[in-house]
Amino acid sequence: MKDRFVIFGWGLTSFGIFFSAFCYFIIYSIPLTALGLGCIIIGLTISLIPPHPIPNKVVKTILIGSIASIEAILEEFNANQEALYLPPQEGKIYAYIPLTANPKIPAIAQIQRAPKRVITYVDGNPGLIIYPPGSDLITLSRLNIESGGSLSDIEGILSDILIDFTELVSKVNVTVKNNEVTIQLKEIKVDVKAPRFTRILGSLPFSIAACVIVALTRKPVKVTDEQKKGKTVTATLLVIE
Amino acid sequence: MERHLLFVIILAIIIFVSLAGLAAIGEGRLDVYLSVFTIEYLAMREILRIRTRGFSFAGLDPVALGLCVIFGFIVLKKVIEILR
Repeated sequence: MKDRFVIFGWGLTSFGIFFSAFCYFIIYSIPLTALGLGCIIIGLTISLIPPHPIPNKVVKTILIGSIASIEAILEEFNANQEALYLPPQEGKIYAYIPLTANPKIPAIAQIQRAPKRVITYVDGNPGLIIYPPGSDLITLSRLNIESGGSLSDIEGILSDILIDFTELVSKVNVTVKNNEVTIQLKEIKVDVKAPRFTRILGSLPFSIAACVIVALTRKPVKVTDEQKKGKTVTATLLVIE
Repeated sequence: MERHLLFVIILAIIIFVSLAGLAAIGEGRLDVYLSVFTIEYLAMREILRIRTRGFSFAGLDPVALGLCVIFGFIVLKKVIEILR
């Protein structure tokens, strides 16, 4: 079934078209014609608004459940290294977590060539392949995220996902400097007890933000330097060229 | 409140207030109404950072694009009028 907002939007648009045509050609009233045009603008705007077919609370619950599963996997394998978010090869964004502390970071192409299994080997070193919750969230949000796009609109996209779609935070501020994206989140509304997940993949909103940036840039991303000051949490996401 | 809903409500209020204002001062040119609606829509869209579904061109959604094209025609018409 189509979203009721979309139906209402198209209804208002149709009314606006007939009303403005009637007023312009029959009544010869410009203000009433303009009223019809106003209805067309508002109707089209309503019909183009991204629908929210899944209630925010359901989305939040699914995310928390997903984190619990990932946390259990990370605990089981005693993972400690920071995750690297990678662009999708088979439709989904994934994260590579090295299981051994290796001072030499393997080449991105090597990681991408590695088989997509829970435990995979890159250059002889074991690592975990995890599908973070944010990878499906982008598809679920039905946002028109153009791959290969610029980071100029990242704040708008993150606001859509983190404020409107998931209701995880109340405010998003983004600063882009070269390949560093500094994200400041205010009033995080979800308290997930997943210390290893937070340490490795970043806290939930930043993990989602990393997935959005990967989807947008098609480049690997790393969440670094997450800091909490009162109700504000700041993190720097590194886009790896 | 959800940002998109807020955008629609504020846009509706602004459009109808400006419409009533222009009608009250006896404005009879349709292009004036359209120009005002275009400016209001684009300004609100930028202030609330709204993203919509469907295609986008140069960062503009279909409604903004349509309004910009109409606005362009209005400006072009005026320029031609002045040059004549």
